[in-house]
Amino acid sequence: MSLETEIAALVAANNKLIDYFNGKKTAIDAAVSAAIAAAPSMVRVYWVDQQLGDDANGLGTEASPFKTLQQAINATPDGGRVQAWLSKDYVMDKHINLTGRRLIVAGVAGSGRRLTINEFMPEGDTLLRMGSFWASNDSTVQLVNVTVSLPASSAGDLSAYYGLVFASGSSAPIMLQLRMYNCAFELRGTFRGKLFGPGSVLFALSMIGTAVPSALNGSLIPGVSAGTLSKDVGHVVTNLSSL
Amino acid sequence: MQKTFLNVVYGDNTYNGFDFDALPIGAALLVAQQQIEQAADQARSAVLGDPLRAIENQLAEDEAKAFKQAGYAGEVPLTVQALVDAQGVEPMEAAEAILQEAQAWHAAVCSIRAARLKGKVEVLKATTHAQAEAYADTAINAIRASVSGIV
Repeated sequence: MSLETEIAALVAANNKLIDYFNGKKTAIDAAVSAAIAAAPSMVRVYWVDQQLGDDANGLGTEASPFKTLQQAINATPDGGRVQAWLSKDYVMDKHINLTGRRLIVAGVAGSGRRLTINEFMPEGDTLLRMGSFWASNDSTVQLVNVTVSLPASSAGDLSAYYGLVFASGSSAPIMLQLRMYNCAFELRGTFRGKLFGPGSVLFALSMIGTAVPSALNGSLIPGVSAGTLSKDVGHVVTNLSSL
Repeated sequence: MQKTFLNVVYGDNTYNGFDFDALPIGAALLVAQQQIEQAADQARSAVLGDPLRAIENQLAEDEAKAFKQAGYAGEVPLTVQALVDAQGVEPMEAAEAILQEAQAWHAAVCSIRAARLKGKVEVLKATTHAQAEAYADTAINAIRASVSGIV
């Protein structure tokens, strides 16, 4: 075999190798793109309008908002974070199940958005609860630029779960966490519930630009009485001086 | 003065994590007064150390003063003798050194007290956050200046 023939064979083999490489590269690129496109975004931003929104057909956009915070959570992957902008004031009269999501409920700064918490009686129960965030696993709650309106508590015994953020059972987070940024409280009467309910034994409470009425002292953390200095309570991490 | 992440109890509310300018004016004045007190506490602590050390200093001053009034005669007080032993100086020299140091502490404490009391009263005259901040900063700077060179 002449040298020319051997070189021609080598070039042919090399070209086949290049073709094979290019084919594989294109296939790999396409597979990676498809995988990225298929992976759900773990960070979601939705709008919620309790009056005009639509959980069944809404897109969660400002123009096509969801109706409930629960739908904003459900549309977010487990372990993800959802920022729910309130288009209007929102009434909470049931549990909102976070099921592992990290939730931010926000009003546009200066909008005066109100989160009105009402009592309710769970089906099959005999003790009143209040609208609340039911945390589990990695759940955290942040409230931003909203006024939290707490109910005048009814007479009689209240459920231990009569608290704004609580957990229950084996799925409870290691630590119940609540951050309030530029929020305010409104008391519609004597509130006998808690900011944190039961479920976890560790608590993180961060308040930035948020005033707490003295009537809520002792109602922030279960088992921590009014006037307790935060530095004396090892299971509570907070920037508040006293509880 | 510190102007961010402020906590203050004022009226029927506890204001948590507030910017100074976002506080109601009454709460802002209270915060300004508290920061003057805080600066005074820090300065006093820097000069005198812990309360037990202050007692020791007071004891040394009392004994040195009595020793001086006795014309440096008689038994050398133990607090004076301690300085004699430590520094190898004469008893009279040790007593004078103790009194000189005590005089510096007195002056500093009086300066801190004057700046603190004046500053707290002046802050109450403020009708704006900016005025309150200016009064507080003046008082805090005066308090810190009181102890510079002593500690």
